[in-house]
Amino acid sequence: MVFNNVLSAYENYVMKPITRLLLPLLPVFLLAGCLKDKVTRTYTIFTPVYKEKSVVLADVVKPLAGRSVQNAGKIYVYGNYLFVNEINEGVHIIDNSNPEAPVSKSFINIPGNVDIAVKGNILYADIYSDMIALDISNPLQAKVTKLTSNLFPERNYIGSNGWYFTPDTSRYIVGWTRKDTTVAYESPEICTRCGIVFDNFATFANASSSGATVGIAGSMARFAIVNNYMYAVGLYSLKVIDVATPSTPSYKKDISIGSGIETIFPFKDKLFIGSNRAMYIYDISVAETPKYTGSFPHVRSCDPVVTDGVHAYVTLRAGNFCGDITESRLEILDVANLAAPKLVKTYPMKNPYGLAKDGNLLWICDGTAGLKLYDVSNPADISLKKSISNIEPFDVIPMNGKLIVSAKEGILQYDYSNLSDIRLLSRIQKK
Amino acid sequence: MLRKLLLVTFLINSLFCAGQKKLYRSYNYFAFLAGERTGQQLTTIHGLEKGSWFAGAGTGLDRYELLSLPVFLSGSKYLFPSSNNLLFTINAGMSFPLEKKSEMLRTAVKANYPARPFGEAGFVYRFQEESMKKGQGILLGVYYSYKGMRIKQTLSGNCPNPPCADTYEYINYELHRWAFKLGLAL
Repeated sequence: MVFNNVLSAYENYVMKPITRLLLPLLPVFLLAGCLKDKVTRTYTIFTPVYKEKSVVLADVVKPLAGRSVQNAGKIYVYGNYLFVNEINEGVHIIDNSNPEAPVSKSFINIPGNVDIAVKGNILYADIYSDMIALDISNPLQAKVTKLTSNLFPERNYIGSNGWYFTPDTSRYIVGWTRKDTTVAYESPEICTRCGIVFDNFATFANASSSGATVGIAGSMARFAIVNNYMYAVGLYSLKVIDVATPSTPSYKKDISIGSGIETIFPFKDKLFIGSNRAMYIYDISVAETPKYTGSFPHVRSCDPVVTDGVHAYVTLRAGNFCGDITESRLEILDVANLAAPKLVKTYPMKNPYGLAKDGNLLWICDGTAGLKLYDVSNPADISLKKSISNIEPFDVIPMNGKLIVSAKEGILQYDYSNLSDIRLLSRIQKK
Repeated sequence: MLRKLLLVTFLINSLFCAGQKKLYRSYNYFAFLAGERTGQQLTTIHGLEKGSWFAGAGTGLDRYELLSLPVFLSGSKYLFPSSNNLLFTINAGMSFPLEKKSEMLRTAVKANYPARPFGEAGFVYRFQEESMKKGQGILLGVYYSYKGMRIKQTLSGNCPNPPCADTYEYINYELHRWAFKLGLAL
């Protein structure tokens, strides 16, 4: 009897209301499967833009008078001359005998150029994926003495997915057109060759080509000349080029280092190489065969390096492209034992690019935070001596109390022989 | 974005109520979400009622594909003012993701989850018990519900000569669901 009452109450007060409520919803439940989620993937397709090599090279030998610096890149000092890369366009040759009044002597048109080095009267410059050697005895009549093909194959692709685009040997890839496209995305599969896609693929083909004084490069350089050898870093390797006869550089070998190689800094018989994963040290006492000596790993970031032989100074730049860290910094490493560098201390930075050391002074191009000068006599406790905040510097070369700075604003030169009165000597700026 | 939305909500509320007799009301729901997959949702909407109209702002938690925080404006109309039982409701706003997906593209160095549109429209029936005050009740509703989601992945690349421009890839989700809601009007 009690059981029947409970059952009846359950029917009346629980099941009936629920049935009454849910019955009208039944068709909706059945319709649920009709709704489909739409998942798409939007990415960028890059298509190469070609130009015939003969057309590009014909432009190189055209004599051009000096022109204004528009988009200053890397800098290189050779004697009284200052070489300034105009990013992807060529090289300014500037007579810097008087840093207070530098004179633009000529502009050598080198499309696709971003790196330079000089030995004797020969200028070495990358020209898209090739390297060109130019006789600049007469800067207004530069002559091509040698072209080394496909030394920098990474210039032929964008992305780090292990896929390259190889143009035929008669053409350069001079640019990329980009177009965003959206396709259905097969979630949750993780795509392995995504993000940047080419309109055509080909696997990488190995590069098959082939007692004057040298100059001084900034820390962002990818070329370094030590005696009779030029060392150039590609994205994955160290390239050894014999420049004993400067006008006819001879490619010798590629030494695989790792990925994300960025900069090279020579010091005595060692090469300090900055990559976005580590700082590497190579011994070049046998010049043609650099030998791995040691490394110091760091989180993924963009990082030039300089050294005084006792300590190495590495700036790690954060930012989307540069990788994993969220805060930029300066790392000071003890390199007394080259096989096992040790971290001394890190210091926060804003947005660092190139750096340079002169005695106990360390100059750091801290991007939007300006140019900074530190006293590093005690690497465990460095102190900021001076800050020039109205410029956005990229690279710096100190020489005999004079400082040459490549910045967004152009090329600036300072006299820092008196640290309490750092003076702007000249400014070669955009017009 | 969140601040703008709250400001707009405040302004709409102010306009809607200017010079009228207003009655505070809140609608609080638990929802079962059914589409290509299933999920749950908790929302709370607060606003003012005037006659057969209601306007307010809501927020909550939406656990469908990824947990997110919807923030939205809400407008309702009682379809039969005499009984005030059947309610048509529209919610529109933005969804702010609160969790991240575990999968990343191999070349991605960073993933961002920007806010994306959120919207719902549906019918709600209010059951009013005798013990409840006027306007209060148990709510049972069926909505069509849309939630947008986007994963913006920053890709690493070959940058031999910095600075280089970033390259992105986007995974866009347009999530369509039915929302079966059970709630309380207070």
